[in-house]
Amino acid sequence: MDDINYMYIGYSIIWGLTFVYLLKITMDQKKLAREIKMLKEVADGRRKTDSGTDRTSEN
Amino acid sequence: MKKTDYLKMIFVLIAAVLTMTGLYMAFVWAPPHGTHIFDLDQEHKDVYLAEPISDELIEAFNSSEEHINLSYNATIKQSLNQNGRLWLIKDGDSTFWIMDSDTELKVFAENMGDVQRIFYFHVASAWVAYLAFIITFIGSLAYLKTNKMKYDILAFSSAEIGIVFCTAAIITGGLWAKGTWGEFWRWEDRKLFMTLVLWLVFMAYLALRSNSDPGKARARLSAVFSIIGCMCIPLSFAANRIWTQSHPTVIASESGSLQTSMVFTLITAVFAFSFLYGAILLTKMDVENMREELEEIKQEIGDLDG
Repeated sequence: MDDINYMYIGYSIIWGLTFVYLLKITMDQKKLAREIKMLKEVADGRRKTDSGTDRTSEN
Repeated sequence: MKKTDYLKMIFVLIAAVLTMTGLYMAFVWAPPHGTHIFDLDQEHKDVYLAEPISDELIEAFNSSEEHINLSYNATIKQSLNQNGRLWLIKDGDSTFWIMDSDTELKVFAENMGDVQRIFYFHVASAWVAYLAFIITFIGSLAYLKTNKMKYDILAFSSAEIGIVFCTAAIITGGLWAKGTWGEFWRWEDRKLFMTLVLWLVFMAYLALRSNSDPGKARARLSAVFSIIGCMCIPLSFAANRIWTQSHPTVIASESGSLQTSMVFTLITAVFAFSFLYGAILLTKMDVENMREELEEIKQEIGDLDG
């Protein structure tokens, strides 16, 4: 194989790996943000339900 | 936007500009071939360039059987003629160098061809890998001292990025070696071997973390593991300086003096990757902080349910 091909393969690997890794962490970030938002809503809902239940039980 | 987001943007911008500059320098500005370390006019007066190349010289070169395998593309043959013993060096297709036999043979990176251009970002990748593992070491030490989870997150994030760049450095090094040595790997080369060990140690570190439950116990165990693993960094870095190896020593060594344009290109690539590392590290730490937050919310919901 010609030298120049090794050079192109080398540069492709460096930038390819970096790009794939960046893509992975960006997707992780988005997925986690979505999950956090969803679970926060769930937690708020539970808290409201709990406080409502507490008030009912107090009455 | 948070303060770290601004910092991340600045790092990304600087990394992008430096990367573009570095690529331009590597492909256009810096010389395509390796460096000639003999200075014909000053240091080695007994080495001279044969111009014009005579038919006798070509014949002498072709008929000479004894040659030195330098693993580089330049061909060196020893020849006897009326002046005594000479080294005939064929550099590429058109240049002959003639050197007296008494002259110390110091040929480094002689005419490696285009594959030499891998060098700039290969070294930058290796540098970032070392930097990332050193940050892991510092983060682990800080965690063991303070017991604060933010240091564990720093250590883990940095180790993961270190693995990515170490992988890039090992693969590109193999490609360079194939182009210059004719083989991808040399097991007898301690530099290569120690770098592989370093890579394996941190792969084990990541495997250890992914197979343990999150918490203080995992953080403590992985901190101790990474501190022990970081002992491989100086060994990997210094292997080609301590032992004579096939792997070239180009930084802080007499034998590997680079041309000015190559030095500037290398520095640009190293800075580009360092800023890129900074930006990726901040992003990865954000992700890990979010993961912690998610665990806390899950626990909170569990408590509310319970």
